[in-house]
Amino acid sequence: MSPSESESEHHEVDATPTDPRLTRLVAYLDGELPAEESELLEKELAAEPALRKAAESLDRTWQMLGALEEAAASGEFTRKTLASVRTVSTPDSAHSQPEQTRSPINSLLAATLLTLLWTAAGFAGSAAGLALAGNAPKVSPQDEQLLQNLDLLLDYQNMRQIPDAAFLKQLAQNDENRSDAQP
Amino acid sequence: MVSQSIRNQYIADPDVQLMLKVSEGDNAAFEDLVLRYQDRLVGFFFHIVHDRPASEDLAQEVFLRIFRSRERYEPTARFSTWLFRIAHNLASNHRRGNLKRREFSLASGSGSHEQLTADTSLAEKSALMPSRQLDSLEMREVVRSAIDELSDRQKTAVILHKFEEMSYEEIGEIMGLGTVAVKSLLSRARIHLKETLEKFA
Repeated sequence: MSPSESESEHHEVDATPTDPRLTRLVAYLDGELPAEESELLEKELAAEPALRKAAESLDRTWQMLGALEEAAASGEFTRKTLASVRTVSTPDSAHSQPEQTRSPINSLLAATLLTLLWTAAGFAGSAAGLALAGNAPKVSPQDEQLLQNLDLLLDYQNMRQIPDAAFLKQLAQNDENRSDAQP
Repeated sequence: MVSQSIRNQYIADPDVQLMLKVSEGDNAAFEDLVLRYQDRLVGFFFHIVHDRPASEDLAQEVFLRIFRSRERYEPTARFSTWLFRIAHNLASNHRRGNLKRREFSLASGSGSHEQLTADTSLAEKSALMPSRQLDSLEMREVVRSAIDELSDRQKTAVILHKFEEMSYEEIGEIMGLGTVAVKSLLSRARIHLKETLEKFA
C-alpha cells in the first residue's frame, strides 16, 4: 500500500486520542487483555462505579450492532460462481476470438476460388516449366480456359466490387471519352 | 518456496487442506470452499457496501482470484485469513472507486446529494428524540448510520471482530496491521459507537 493510500484511509475519527483506560477496557471486553491486566482491571471495575458504567455502556452499544441487516448469498450464487470459475479453467475458450460470421454462399465461393487459384497456379507453373524445357505441354480445353481467365481469377476480389455489367459499359465509355479528349 | 515450519503451522487447517486439493486440480474441493465461505463473504461485503448485488459480485471476485492463484498456492496463513485479506483489498478498491465517482458527480453538480441529505436527516431526526422507543427498522438505520461514521479501517475491523468473531491478531494479519494498531483502531471505534448510540440503548 502506498503512503498516500494509507493516509487517505485515516479519517478524523482514527486520529482522535483515546483514554488509555478506555482502550484497556475495550480490550478487556474483547477478551484480548492478558490475564494479569484483566485481574487488575476487574479490581478497578469493582472499586469505580464510573468505570463500571462505561464498561456497561460499551458492551450495550456493541450489542446494538446486532440490529444491522445481514445478508447471505442468494440461491444462485454458488452456481454462478462455479460457472464463472469454469471459464477461467478453460482459458483457450475464454480468450479465443469469436469466429467471424460468414454466409455459406461466401464460404463456398471462397473455397471454390481458392481451389481454382491453386489449380491455375499449378498448371501455370507446369506450363512454364515445360516451355522452358522445350516441350509443348498437353493442356485440356478446360484447363486452357482456366489459364485464359487467370488474370480474372487472380483479381477476383477487386472484380467483386463491380456491381453489374452496365457499370462496366459506362466505365468503358468514359475511358473512350477521356482518351478522345487527350491530345 | 515456503519453509516447512510455516507450512506445518497451517497444514492442520481443514480449509487449507481443501485449498491444497484445489491446487492439485480438485474442483469439488473448490466447490466445498465456496459453500463454506459464500455467506460470510457476502455478509462482510454487505456491511461495507450496503448493496446485495454488489456484495455478491465482490464475493464472486474473491473466489475467482483464489481459483486463479490455485497453482501458486502456498499455505502461509489460515485459509480464512487469506480469503478475508483478498476481500479487504477488494473492499478498499471498491470504496476508492466509489469515492472517485462521488467526487466526480458532486463536481458535476449531480448525484448523491439527495441521498446524503436523506441519511443525515434520519440521523438528525433520531437524535432529536432519543428517548422515544425506536422500532427495529429505525434502530437498524441509526446503527448503520453510526457505523458509517467510522473510518473505513475502523469499520472493517469492527465487522471482522463483531460478525466474524476474529481476534485482534487475525484482524491485523488481514489488514496488514500490528496487534497494537488493531487494539487502538477498535478502541476508538467502540468509543465512538458508544458516544453515538448510548442515547438509544
